[in-house]
This record gives sequence, C-alpha cells and structure tokens, in this order.
Amino acid sequence: MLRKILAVDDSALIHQMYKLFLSRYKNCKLVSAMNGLEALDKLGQEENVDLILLDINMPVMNGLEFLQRVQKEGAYKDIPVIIISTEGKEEDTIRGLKMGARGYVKKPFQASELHSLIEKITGP
Amino acid sequence: MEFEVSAELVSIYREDAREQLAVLDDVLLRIEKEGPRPELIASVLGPLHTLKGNSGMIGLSAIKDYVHRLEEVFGRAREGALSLEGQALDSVFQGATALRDAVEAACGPTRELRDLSAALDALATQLARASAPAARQAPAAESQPARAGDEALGDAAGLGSVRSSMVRVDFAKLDHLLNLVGELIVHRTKLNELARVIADTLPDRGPELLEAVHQVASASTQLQETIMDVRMLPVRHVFERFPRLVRDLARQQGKRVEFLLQGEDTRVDKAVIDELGEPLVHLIRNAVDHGIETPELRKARGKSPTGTLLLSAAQESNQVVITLVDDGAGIDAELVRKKALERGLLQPGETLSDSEAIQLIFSEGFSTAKAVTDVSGRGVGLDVVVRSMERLNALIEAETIPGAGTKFTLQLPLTLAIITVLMVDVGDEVYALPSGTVVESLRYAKRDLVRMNGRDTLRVRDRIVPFLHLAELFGRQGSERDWAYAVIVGRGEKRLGLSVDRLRGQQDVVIKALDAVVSTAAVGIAGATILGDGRVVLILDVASLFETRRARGGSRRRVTAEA
Repeated sequence: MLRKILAVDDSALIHQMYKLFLSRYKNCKLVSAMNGLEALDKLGQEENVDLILLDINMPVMNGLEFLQRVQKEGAYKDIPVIIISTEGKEEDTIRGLKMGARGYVKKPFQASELHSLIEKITGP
Repeated sequence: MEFEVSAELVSIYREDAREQLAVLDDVLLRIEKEGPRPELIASVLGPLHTLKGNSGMIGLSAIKDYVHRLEEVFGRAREGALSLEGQALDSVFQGATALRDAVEAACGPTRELRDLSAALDALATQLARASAPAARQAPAAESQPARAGDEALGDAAGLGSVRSSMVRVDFAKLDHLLNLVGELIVHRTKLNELARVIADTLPDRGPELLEAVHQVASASTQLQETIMDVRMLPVRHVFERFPRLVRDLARQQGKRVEFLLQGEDTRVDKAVIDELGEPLVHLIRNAVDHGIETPELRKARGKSPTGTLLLSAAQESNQVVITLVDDGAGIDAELVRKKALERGLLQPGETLSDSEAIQLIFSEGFSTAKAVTDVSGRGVGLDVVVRSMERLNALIEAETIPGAGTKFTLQLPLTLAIITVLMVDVGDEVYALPSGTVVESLRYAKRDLVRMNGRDTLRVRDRIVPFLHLAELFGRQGSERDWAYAVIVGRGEKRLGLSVDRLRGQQDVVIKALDAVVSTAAVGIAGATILGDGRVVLILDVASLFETRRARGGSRRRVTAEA
C-alpha cells in the first residue's frame, strides 16, 4: 500500500495535476519539491517515502543530478523512481533509466498512464 | 482529456506561462541589443521547457508544439548553427507575440484555441535554413550526448533557490485576510475605549487589562502592516512588458525610440497593479504615436534621430508617482483648443491658459490624431486613462513644452483596500472623501458664491469652480452660518467644489463595498467604512459627483471656466 509519494517538479501546474491524479490513492500523502535539492531535503525530513516522481529539467539541481546523489548516498537508493520526461529530452530519460530509475512517463500524460505505471512498480 | 481542466489549473498555468513568456521577451530584447550570446540563449531554455510541459499537460497541444519548435530554434542558436539576428530574430519576436496571444486566448473565458500554424511555418523556415550547414558541421548523433539538460540550466540556478522558499497564495485569500484585519482594527478602537472605562472601576486589575489591550492593539497594527506588505508587488510586473511594446510600436511606425525604465522595484498593492496596465499601455502608445517624431523630422528639428521615452515610478509618502516623459513634439495647445471647439468641449469665447487647455486631451471624445492608425487612434482617446485613474482614486496631469516633449504624471494610492480619506461633516452626518481626489480645502463666505448659468460657482484664485452643496444632495440640513468650508476635488482637468460644514481631518480607513442594491440607489457613494465607535461613514464617489452635476446642470461637459 502506498503511504507517501514525493513529487519533484519545478512547475506548480504539474504539482496541482499530481494532487488531482493521485487523489485516488486513499491515505496516501503527497510531498512536493520544486527541484532536486529540495527533494533531497524532503527525503531527509519524511519517513517511508514509497515512490518518487521525478522531472529532469529543473533549476538548482536537475533530476539526473538528484538521481546521482540518491544512488551515491545509498540511504534512499531503494525507493523506486519514475521519470517524468518531456518531448525532446529522450536522451535524458535514457540516462535516468540507466542510473536506476524504474520507469518513465512522458508529458503530457494521462491519469491512467500514471496509475498503471505506479501500480506496476509498487503493486496495486 | 480524461480529467476536467478546472479554472484553478488554467489560472496556475496562465500565471506560470506569463512568467515564462516574460523571460522570453526579456531574452529576445537582450539578444537584439547584446547579440545572441550562448549564455543568454541558455537562460531561456529552462522556462521554455517548463512551458512546453505545462501546455501539453493542460491539453494545449498547438502551444506545446510551437514551444517545442522554439526550443529547437534556441537550441540550434546556442550551438551556433543558427544566427539569431535580422529576419530570424524577427520571426522569433513575432512568434513570441503569437504565443502570448494564444496563451491568453486559451486561458480566457471562452478558452479559444488559436491556430499557430503560420507562426510554426515561419520558425520551420528558419530552422530549415540553419539545418543544412549544421548537419555538415557535426553529425547529429555525436553532438547529442554533450547536450545535457544540466548545462542549459546553470544560469537559472540563483532564481530557483529563491523560489523554493516561496508559497503561492490565492489573492482572494489575502483579500479575505485584509478584511478580517479591518474588522479587528475597528473593534480594537472600541475595545480600547471599553477597557479604559472598565479599568477605572477595577483599581487592582485595571493596569493589567490596559496592558493586555495595548498588546492586542500593537499586534493587530503589525498584522495589518504585514498583510498590506504581502499584497504589495513591484511595478516591474506591469513594466516588464513595455520594452517589447515600445520596440514593436516604434518599428511599425519607422521611429527610433530608446525606452528607459526607472524605479521598477517600487511596490504597490496587487489590486492597483492589476488596474495599472491598461492606462499605461495607452499612454505609451500615445507617446510613441503622437509624441516622438520620425527620425527625419527629429533631425530637421535639430534633435537626435532617436527619441527617448522614460517611464519611472517612485513612492512619495503614501502615494506612488508614475511619470512618463518623452522628448517628442509636445502638445500644441492651439491645436487642442481648435479640436475642443470642434468637439463642443470648449465654448466659443471661453479662454484657457495653455496649461489648462492641455488638460482637455483627457476629455471624453477628444483625440488629436490626424488619421486613425492602429496604434493609439482606435476611436478612443485618453479619457479611457482618466476612467482607469478614477477607479484607482488617482490623479493624472499632463505638462508639455512645445517642440521639446511631454510629461504625464500619475499619482496613485499604494493600495485600494485601505484609503486615506478626508472626513467632513454635512449637517449631523459624517462623510469621507478619498484624499487622492482632494485638491485643496478652504473656508469661504457664502456671499462669495456667484450664480452662473443657473449654478453656484466659487472663484478660487484664477479659476471659477462650480459648486455642489452636499447637504442639498443628501437631503440634510446644512449649517445656518454665513460661511462654510469648500473641499475642491479633481477629476482629470476638472474641478468641483463641495460645500461642507466642518473638516475633521484625514484618517486611514478600510473600505467596505456596499452591496449592489444600496450603491446603485445612492448617488455619489463609493462605499462605506466603520469607525471605531461603530458608526458607519459613507465614502463619497467623487467621479459620480461630477456626473451628478452634469445631469443637473445641463449638457455642458466642461465644468471649469474662466470668468
């Protein structure tokens, strides 16, 4: 059962969408971060994060740098990561998958795509 | 889409898009000035990428596709495969405009989806031109791995770290907070009075009570100040789109204009910011259209071929003063007089000083444009600006030196929610007049009133000011003395004298809007405020007092005239 999802994106709109899309998971807390650095902070504060939704193209610390830090520090490296990619940055998605991300969804995505991928990775 | 794109999502999208497009405009202007430096180009890639993602998410695929193309153009430009100059830069400029229009249309009430294919084709042409030599230079497959996202975003780093400590708040919530604080402040005064009375009867715990009330009072004052502060935004939010506007206008008309901005960090209440854009656009259009001359004419007049337009903002006590100065042709007072006569704004035989005549440009139905251009001559004159100024309780003034230039001065309140009013007595009632509309107040002898065209007027120095007896208007019994006070209020170039029985002085009040039924029934009332003693005081709507006068006094628009 999902308890906590960390969503990392620099767009307020995308965060609002996550809120909408993920409302189907009852009792699941959505934690938001606007960039990789903030996401690392949040990981330090929050316990039991079950899943990370990760944008790549972000200021301060981008998604790939974040992934690298997570892998290096080890404490969080077992938390599954889904890359949220955008058209035109396919090579970044591939790099992310090579760095251990478990799957990806391409913007614009539909709620159902996100749901089925989440359930494939974390179980229903 | 399998979800409904709610109004909230659209408004978040639009807010974001406006920021991203502002960066785009800024970068384009800088590229035009400083040349297509790679780090300049890189700084726009992040915002564009986010705009693309957002547009896709909200189902605006035409906008998404266009931004994608734009990203490609900037990407190629950064690699040096495409030179962002001349025609290529122009088509990106045009594209940015089309894009902004498309975003606004899509987020507007009708959610209109604009066709961007023409703009898309224009970009494709530029890309096609670039791709041939680029392909020869470096095989695409090799160049790609080097182009990682991190590099592109290096420039935006500073911005992001600031942003992460920010929270977005719906403005309606701030409005609500301010209203609550208004209530608090009203009751604070009442509480103070009560505490003082009760403290006297409780000798042992009285001081304690007073101290506690004092603490509450001081905290609520700070609360009010903080909330007012939160609502303040730098005028940059309005100013930032003007460099682009001036550039486009100047190009359209073959003029050369250097546009300078000053004091963009001056902060004003968001409600004022929201109202400020339209009148300023109008004044700027007017300055480029009618003020600044063509380079040939400027040279012939011994001026530099490039005109200068300066927009500045500064805070002066509890007002913000915005000035727009151009070094153009100035306003020809004689031409203004002639037009005013033609339009019936001025009666034959009426004489006005040059500086008074100039103010006539703000009159309804006045426009000196020789031909209707698509710049400022769209059948609307500067009276539109005057109407905006009225909504803002602001004053506007024009000064000109023929041949040398024109200066418009706008005096705005810092906020619309709390205004400074002049409290006056009319009979046994208290009324409030927004201080921004008050030009001066003075004592006059009733025998000095002169009846002209069936109305009372008062001579104030060299000006004959029409008069309105507030007691009469509101059906009150005025004082019987042979003298009273006159408050002279202004609306554009016009002046109106209001007779009152007593001046009580200035005070800051929180405006409570009256409900629609009351306000349409009551002539001349803008709203109400509650005083500390619980009394409701009506705030007079000065603009409608001018209208009242007009309706009663016949068809003449102009209410000031020299004897």
